[in-house]
This record gives sequence, C-alpha cells and structure tokens, in this order.
Amino acid sequence: MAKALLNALARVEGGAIALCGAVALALACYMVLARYVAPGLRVDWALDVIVMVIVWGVMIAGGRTARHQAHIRVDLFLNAAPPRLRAVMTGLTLAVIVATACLLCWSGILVVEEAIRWDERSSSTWRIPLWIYYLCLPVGMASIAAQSIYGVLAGRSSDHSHLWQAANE
Amino acid sequence: MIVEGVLGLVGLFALLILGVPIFIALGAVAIVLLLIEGNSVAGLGQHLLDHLNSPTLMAIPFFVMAAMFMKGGGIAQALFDWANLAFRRVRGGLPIATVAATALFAAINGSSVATALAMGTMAVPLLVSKGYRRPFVLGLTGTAATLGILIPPSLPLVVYGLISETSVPRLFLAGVVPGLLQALLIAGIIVVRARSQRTAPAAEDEAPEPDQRGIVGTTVWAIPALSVPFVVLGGIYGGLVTITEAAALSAILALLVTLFVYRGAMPREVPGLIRQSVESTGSIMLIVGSALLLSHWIARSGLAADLVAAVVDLGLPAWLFLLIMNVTLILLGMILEGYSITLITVPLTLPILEALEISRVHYGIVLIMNIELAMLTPPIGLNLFVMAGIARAPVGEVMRGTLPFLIGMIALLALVTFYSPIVTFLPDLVLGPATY
Repeated sequence: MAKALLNALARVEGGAIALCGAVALALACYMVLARYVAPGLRVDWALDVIVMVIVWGVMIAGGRTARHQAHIRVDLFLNAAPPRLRAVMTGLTLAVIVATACLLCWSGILVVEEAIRWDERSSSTWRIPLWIYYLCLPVGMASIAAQSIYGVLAGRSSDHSHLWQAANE
Repeated sequence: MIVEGVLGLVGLFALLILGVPIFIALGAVAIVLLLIEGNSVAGLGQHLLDHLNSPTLMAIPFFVMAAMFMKGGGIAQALFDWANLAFRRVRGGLPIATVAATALFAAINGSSVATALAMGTMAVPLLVSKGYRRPFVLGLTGTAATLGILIPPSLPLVVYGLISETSVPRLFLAGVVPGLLQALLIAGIIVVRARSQRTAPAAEDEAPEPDQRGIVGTTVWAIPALSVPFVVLGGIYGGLVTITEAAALSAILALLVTLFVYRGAMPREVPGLIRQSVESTGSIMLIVGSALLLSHWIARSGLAADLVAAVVDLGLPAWLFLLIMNVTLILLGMILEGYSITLITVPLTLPILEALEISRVHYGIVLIMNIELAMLTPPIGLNLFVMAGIARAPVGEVMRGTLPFLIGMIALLALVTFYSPIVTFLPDLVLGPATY
C-alpha cells in the first residue's frame, strides 16, 4: 500500500516536472515567434511564467533527487570511509540537510505570508500574485527534508550521483 | 570579516568532506553567516527566491534540454560523416574527423558529457574497428568532448556569467579562439601519434572514395544539424534573441531535428527527456541559488573589500595570482565537479580580479579550461567515466590514453592564462572593448 502510494507520488512528481519544462519551453518559443511573426500577439507576462514554472519544477525535482541521494556532492571520502564512520557521516549529513531545509521552509512560509498580506504581484500586465511563485520554496524544502529522510531510511544508494552530474555537465 | 570568511570556508569544506550535498553545504554556511550578520529569517528565503528569479538563469534548463534531445544520436553521426569527407585523405584522418565533428557538436550544445556520450558512442567502436588502439581512441574522444563547454554555447559559461555579472555573449565569443586552438592541438597530437604503428593501423581507409553524389548527399544530410548553431549563435550576435530565447530555440530545433530528420528519439520519449532535463537543471540551479546567497553575504559583510586589501598588501602581481588560481582550481577539480568549483570560488575571487585588473572574461575562460582538465583528472573526472562506460574499459585505460592530450591541454592553459589577447581579441573585435 505504502509502496503503491509512493509510486503514485513519484509519477505525479515526474508528470509535474515534465509539464513545468514543457510549458516553459513552449512559452519561450512563443515569445520569439510572436515578436517576429505576430507582434500583436506578444505578451509581457511570458518571462514571469517561465521563471515561475521552471523554479517550481526545480523545487519539485529537488525533493525527487534527494530521495535518490543524487544531489551533486563530494562522495569520495564517504565512499572510502569504513562502514561505522560512513553511518555516522550519513547521519550528520542528514541532520544538516534537514536543519537547513526546515529553516528555508520556515523562511519560505514567512515570505508567502508577507506576499499575501501585502498582495504582492508581478509587474507584468497579468499581475500574477507572487505568493504562487514564493510557495515553491516551502513546498520544495519540505519535500527535500522529507525525501532525504526517506532516502536514508530506505537505504537508497548514492551511486547515482555520477549519472546526475553526467547529465549536468 | 576575514576571520568569519575563513571560518565559513573551513565550515564549507568540512560539510563537503562529510558528503553534504553542495547546495545544502553552501546554503547552510550562507545562512549561518547571514544570521550572524543580523539578517532576518524571512530575508533568507526572499534573497534566495529573488536570486532564482533571473531570466539569464532560465537559459540553463533550455540548454540542458537541447543536450538531452541531442544525446540520442543522429546529429552526431551526420556531423561525423561530413567531417570525415574533409579529412579522409589525411593520415589519422578518422580521428581528426572525430575531433572536427566534436567541435561542431560542441557548437550546438553546451555540455561536455552530452558531447562525450553522443560522439563517443558513435566514434569509439568505429575507430577501434579500424585498428586504432583503444586507449588512444578513448583518450582523444574524452579530451575532444571537453570542447563542449569551451566552444559556445556553454552551460558553465552561462553560470559563470550569471554569478560574475559578465556578458554571456561576450563570454561565448571569448571561448571560440581557445576552443579552436584546443581542437587544433588535439589534431596535432593525433597526427604525431598516428605515425606510430602502436597507436594507428598501417592502412586506414578501406572504404571506397565517395563520388560527387555521395559528397553532396552527406553534406545535405548534415545541413539540419549545422543549422542549429547558425540559428542560435546568429540569433544572439544578430541581436535578434536573448540568451534565454536562444537556448529555448536551440532546444526546440534540436528536438525537431532529432525527431523528424535523424529520428534519434521517438515522440513518446519527449516528456521523459524534458523531465530529466528539469531534474538535472534542478541540481545546478539549487547550487546557483545557494552560491548567490553566499555571494550576497560576501558583498554585504565587507569581506570583498578586506580580501582586496589583503591582496594589495601582499603586493601580489596578476600573473602570480592567476598561477595560484590555476593550481588551486586543478586541485579542487580533483574533488569537485565544474559547477561547484565555479560557484564556490568565483564569489571570492571576483573582487580580487577587479583589484588586479584581470579581465573577468579572461578569467572566465581560464576557469572553464580548468574545469575541462577537472573532467579528465581522477577521481571525479566525469569524461573518464563516460568513456570507460561507453567502451566497457577500465578507467585506468582511459586515463592512460588521455595523458598525452592532458599534457597538451595544460600547455594551452598556460598560454591562455599568460597571454590574455587569445581570449579577449575576438569579443573585443565583435562587441567592442570590454570595460571589465
């Protein structure tokens, strides 16, 4: 049951990330096309939305990557450490991740509250409420903290890190 | 402030050695320093979100998407066939064609590993089947693939431009001449090594000489692949599109060419490729966000001014500083990957560059060339692992093959470090002299 739930969550996350990327790509191309082909159809909010969906996608992906312990890191010393020291290092690492992510999550909640209180909006004609953008920080950081804990408890290997780096370089 | 800075740096390296993800390590140190400085908790999140709200930063996911779409093959093969036409009569022509095709591939994607994967998968089996020794083939392909981050467009140059507030189009142009010199250097080493029977076969070309129709056909087949850099770089330097728009165009063109011309991927694979791109981008962008948070502390705390004063007091000449940085970057390259090296060192070195009147454009290329070396040096050298994976060869064999090229690249790095016009000549010619 729990496994099925987690698989469903992973599928929803994956779909949301792909959707964020696709929307951003489509909008960026639309910006160029509209400028040179149909200037009347230009919109000034496209860049706001691109930033918003990409940063949301990045934050959702942050949690997913944390679950696989695949964020870029120096695992040289960790891999060379004897099992007991390795367990201590993993525990300390998890503590630092959770503390930092929780602090940033709290910070994000405060930023969202402020944005709602002052009705902060983007400067484009759409006037998108900024709390929608800011909300990605608490959601993303909470996801990173929770999925890091799950990753360690489930004993996920960090061997994927090279693959992730490979895709990034 | 120097004391806090040193303590922060020690803390950062302690967290890195512990195995803490780099974005968390940078973020944790920045948070502690900013809180000590009197920043509010809400301010931390606000700074992070403000830094991520950058149109230039949005170029990264699109360039990563372009690289993902191109990995499937097709584009690399078309470029290789075309380059092979030009070098088919030269001794060592096939490996030289590999370098030429890699340089062209580098001009349509900004990733070194994507270049290594695409070119290596295609060229390594072919060269080995023609009698070239495997370590030599793996070494040359892995080294040539590092051109992916030097020849524009380049993902690490976008990140460097963002963090150092340097014009990305200027940085892209600055990478052209060193990139071409590196390609020539690799080709030169190939010509020398191809004379040895231990490296190259006695007779290479068994394939029949292509006729006029074959030459035209291969050229026409390569045109869609070659059109990508023309549209992207032409758009940027023609002032038609921004860097972010150019990156998006590069992604969409790569997708269309891969799907409909070379059929390197199936339409149903596209959502998965986009997801992978955003996930990969996430790892980079979170590090960028944390690094910018640390930069914010450096700027706010007065550490930058203290660092400059310390360097001025030491009377350090620019050449010695660059030499020290090269050694430091090579050493860091052994334990950190490229983005981390950039994002950890640049905020600290930037004020010193200005004090010593070192061009940020020049330093950016020196940094990227060091990252190229980092990709070829163990234990983190990613290209070594990619090539070993492609050929199912031991990493030691790839390292052995890379060594002659690595020595050449260190010589080229020395030349670029101490003779800056190699870097600044082209951007100054095209865009006018830089003010930084």
